[in-house]
Amino acid sequence: MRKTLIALSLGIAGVLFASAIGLWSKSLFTISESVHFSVNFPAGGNVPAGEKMSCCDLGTPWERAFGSEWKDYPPGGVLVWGTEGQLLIDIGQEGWLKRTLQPNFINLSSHWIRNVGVKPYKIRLDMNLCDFDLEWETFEANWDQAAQSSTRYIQPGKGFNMDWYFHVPPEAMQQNVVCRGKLEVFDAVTGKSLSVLPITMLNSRAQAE
Amino acid sequence: MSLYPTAYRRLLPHWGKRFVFFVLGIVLLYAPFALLTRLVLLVANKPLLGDVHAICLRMPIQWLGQPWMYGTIFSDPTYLVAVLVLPIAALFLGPLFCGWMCPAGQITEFLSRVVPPRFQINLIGKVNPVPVRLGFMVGMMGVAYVGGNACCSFCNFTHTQNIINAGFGNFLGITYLASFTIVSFVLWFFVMGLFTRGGRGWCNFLCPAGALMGLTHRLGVKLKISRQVTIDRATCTNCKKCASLCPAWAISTDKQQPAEINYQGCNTCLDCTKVCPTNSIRYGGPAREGTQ
Repeated sequence: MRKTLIALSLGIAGVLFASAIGLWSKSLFTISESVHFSVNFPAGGNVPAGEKMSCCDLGTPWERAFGSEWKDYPPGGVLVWGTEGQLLIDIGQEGWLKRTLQPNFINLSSHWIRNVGVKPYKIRLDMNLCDFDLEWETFEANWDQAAQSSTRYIQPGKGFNMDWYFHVPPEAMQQNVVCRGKLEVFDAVTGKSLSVLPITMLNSRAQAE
Repeated sequence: MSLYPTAYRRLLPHWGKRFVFFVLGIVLLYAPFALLTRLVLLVANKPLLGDVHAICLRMPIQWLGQPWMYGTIFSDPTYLVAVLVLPIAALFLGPLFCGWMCPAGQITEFLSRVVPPRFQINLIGKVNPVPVRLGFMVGMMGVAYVGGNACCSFCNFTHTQNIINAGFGNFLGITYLASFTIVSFVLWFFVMGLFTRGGRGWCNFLCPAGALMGLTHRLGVKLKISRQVTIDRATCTNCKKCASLCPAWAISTDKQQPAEINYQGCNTCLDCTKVCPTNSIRYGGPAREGTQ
């Protein structure tokens, strides 16, 4: 009996630990550190009815059930955590460790640059973040870094992934609005813009001071 | 007085063999090689680069708690590795992957043998990590329902890949810090790794892949279909040397009781079979009478 109780208590401790770190990292993932977001293209595309995304993909389980009632898609696409149309990052809300050790080395990440249209696209990505030097990293095998373009067609319903790493200059870190930039997705073949995602980087800590 | 237990010397040839498999694990699963991963990607027709993330051992386990993801899991061979291939292998052979082929567990285990035990946290016999590990796995699945993420943000496989990348000149992964990566790295590599006896505190407490394989291994032992580590009661002198060196903390330490193996915790590294002075421990078919 005692053994069972101890085992149960240890199990609950494991559950609580996973829950605590899961919620803590979510609070950073979504707002300030290593912000993950999704971008859909083309902006006037379609979304399969009732598509349910994983928690790991899109925060809380949520369903994209636009279906037949769906009329239009917000410019820039649907973002992680349910915010639509723009990406907000507040580096003032970085965790204590990040703020202390490395506040200005930032990572943005989209594992869901998704074709919600009806035809395949090769895409070119233009990430404009106030001329900060960007490092691009991807899990994709078919990526031409020089042209910043995919070398394969992304089929309808399928996605692409990309991470951006950059250093924010110290003087910019002191601004309320650190940067207003955007991520634009182009058709790599025709050059036509498919989707634009405005990106605003704030420092709420600078605002408060 | 020596800084290290004398049994380490006895184990060196065995560790040498395991080290070969450690290197093989890197070559098969981790960039820049990832030979097995590349093969699986080819079969699955997935246009990804071969690195440890391409065959993720954490996300598919989290998805087991999300029924709407079952279609995704079962339509993609790369996801089946974590939820089917390795657990089924553990059902019949024990979690040999953990003990022999998982670089993320072995890197801290091997390095921990360099740190003198007197400087290490000793939890052997003091806490049973198996329920914690199961709890962590369940918590990882559960917290996802409220948008939390204990899966990717606390991934020791990523840390291992970052270390290997750095060895090949790509320092991006280890130079970029986020609060949760700092905490998880310090916990995995230092607190539960180098400075914990056995060097596998992370595996024992927090690895969901290990938890799943531990479950199926225990089932295999129960059904008498698994190869397993057994102790011959007739020749065992209860010296408990095996328990004191088991990196999985899976052997009972009470000297008043015969040694017992916790199959849900055992990672089949087989260190115990080599350290036993009476050769009473072996790895083979199901337990016979007089063995456990």
